[in-house]
Amino acid sequence: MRRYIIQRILISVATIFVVITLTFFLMHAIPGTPFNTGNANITEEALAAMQANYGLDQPLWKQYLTYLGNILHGNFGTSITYTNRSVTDIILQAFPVSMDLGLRALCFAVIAGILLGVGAALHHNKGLDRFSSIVAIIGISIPSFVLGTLLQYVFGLLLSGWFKEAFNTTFQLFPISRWESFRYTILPSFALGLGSIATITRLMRSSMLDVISQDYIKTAKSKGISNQAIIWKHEVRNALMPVVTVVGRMVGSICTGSFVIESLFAIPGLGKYYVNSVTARDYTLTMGLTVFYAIFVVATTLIVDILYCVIDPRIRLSGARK
Amino acid sequence: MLEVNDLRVSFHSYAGEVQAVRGVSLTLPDEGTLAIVGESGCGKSVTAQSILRLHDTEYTEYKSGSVLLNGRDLMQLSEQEMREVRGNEIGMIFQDPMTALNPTMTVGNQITEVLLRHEKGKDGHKLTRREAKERAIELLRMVKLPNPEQRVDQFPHEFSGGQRQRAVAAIAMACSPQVLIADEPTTALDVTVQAQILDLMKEMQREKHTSIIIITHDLGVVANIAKTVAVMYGGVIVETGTVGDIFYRPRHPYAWGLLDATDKAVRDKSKPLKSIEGTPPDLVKPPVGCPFADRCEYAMQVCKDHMPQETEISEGHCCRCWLLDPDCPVRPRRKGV
Repeated sequence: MRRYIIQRILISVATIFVVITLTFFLMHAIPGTPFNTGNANITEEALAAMQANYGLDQPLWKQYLTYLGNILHGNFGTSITYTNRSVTDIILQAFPVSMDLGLRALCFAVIAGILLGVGAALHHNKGLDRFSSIVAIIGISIPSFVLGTLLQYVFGLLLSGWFKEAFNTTFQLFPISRWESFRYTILPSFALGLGSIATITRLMRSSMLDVISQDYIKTAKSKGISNQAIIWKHEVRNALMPVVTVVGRMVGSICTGSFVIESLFAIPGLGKYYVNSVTARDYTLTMGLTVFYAIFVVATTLIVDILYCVIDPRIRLSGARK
Repeated sequence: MLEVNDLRVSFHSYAGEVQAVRGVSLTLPDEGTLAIVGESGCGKSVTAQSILRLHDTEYTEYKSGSVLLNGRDLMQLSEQEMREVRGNEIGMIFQDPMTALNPTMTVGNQITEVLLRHEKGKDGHKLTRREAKERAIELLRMVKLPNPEQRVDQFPHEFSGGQRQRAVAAIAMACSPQVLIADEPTTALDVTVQAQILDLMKEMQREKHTSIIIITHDLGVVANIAKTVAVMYGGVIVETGTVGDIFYRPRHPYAWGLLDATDKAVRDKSKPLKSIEGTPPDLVKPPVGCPFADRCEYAMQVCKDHMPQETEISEGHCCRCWLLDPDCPVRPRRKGV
């Protein structure tokens, strides 16, 4: 087990190194510099001074080595567009919001997806199963920005208009923008999570159907235990295995937030910074965010894989044998 | 005493109604051992699992018949009452030990699950987890698993096939049931382990006075463990009798075929083993006459048109065959093994 974890950590470090290298050179391959975008009135001397200030006058390989060295010291540099703000500072300020949104969406997707999948499998080819298929088709085929806009239209215009007429208040059940209290989080979390609900529901359903026909379910039934005990202790637990892997892969991508949802609902998360940094050629910020995302995704995958061993005893053994 | 009378079971499938069991009657005396033999798809497993009503009620229909356990009809019980019977009064061992245990639960927990469900402590209180675990260790010792104290916390994948079947047997025997149903318990095991499992079942029978129904297509297993035998074909029982009756005085052509197809220690090895030509009948459209008529070398017109009645040859030895009819013109006889 320990050997397995050490092995995985080494692979993770290598992955992050590859990500850094690729991003660094790809980013510099994009035409333009941070200083010539949209501002033509800059003088030659000023440009040279700024290049020198950020070290951009050095040859690329030297910049790369310097960057690697800085990262090893935990220094992500300062942003070029947001002057005087360090990249770490921006991440610390904006990431918690993105992660908050992501975790809410994920919790919502996991709970709803598993329940819907279990229900669909237990009512195979009946009403609930059909309903879950419809949810899955909607979730997979409607992009989150369309769904987000639709939700805003329904809750922001239709419902609040109706509320106004009926009770003469401007009360909004679920506000359609900003990130202030629990009520504000409902719509964006739903919009972000629906796609994942669809995936989890379908997977949980097929996995449950597979488990239900297994011999050990017959063994469990022959013990005379209740249907509830069979469903939760024997069926759901075994059916969760493939779902855990998929959810694990979702954690990384969903928790880093979504630029679309964040801008649609005016949520002050990381997405905005990321997109702006690319258009502004803000090298340090782009690099910093990419490296941060890479570390985050690799780390969550690693944690999920280790958790997977804890849940599935068969993997624990094959890891130990190596 | 377990009695099955005129049991009929059908499955509803896309192809139509599969009449898997078409009027089966069996008697299992206390401490008796009954073997149900027959080829794949003849309805032996369905019969056995119907005794516990294990089939999914959505697709399965118990069309008629009764299953009397000490005079109480299990077919009339509610699902709730049936759960009291399962694992408690009737235990079951399944064919494939590799898939019969839950892979994510320790073997100990799988045994304690049935103990906690049915068993009570000495003074009638509910069994605690600790007591249940102690009993599980005892059970693993009873099925001769070495180091039961350690093995109880292990998962099924840490057990070999034979060890898993011992664990399955421990689950089935945990509450000392009156009847143990073993559905091909040795088919998936290699020969030396087969003998060990059969010995184990016999020993448990002696200790706990259990009666056993064993389903198999292996006549070697029958000879080893059974006292009475029911030969099943096409959803009906074609011949029943003691082991002696079936092995030495078989009367049904299908029983002759089965015995001919069995390898023996002393056999003319230059000749190939005999097999029964043809395939079993389609139970979606079961034949009106004798199900074996299509494959039987003695088949007459009457065999195809009418189902033969059961004829009693001697006490407890019954056979369903038109050859035994007083008006039958031919009297083919075969010796058994």
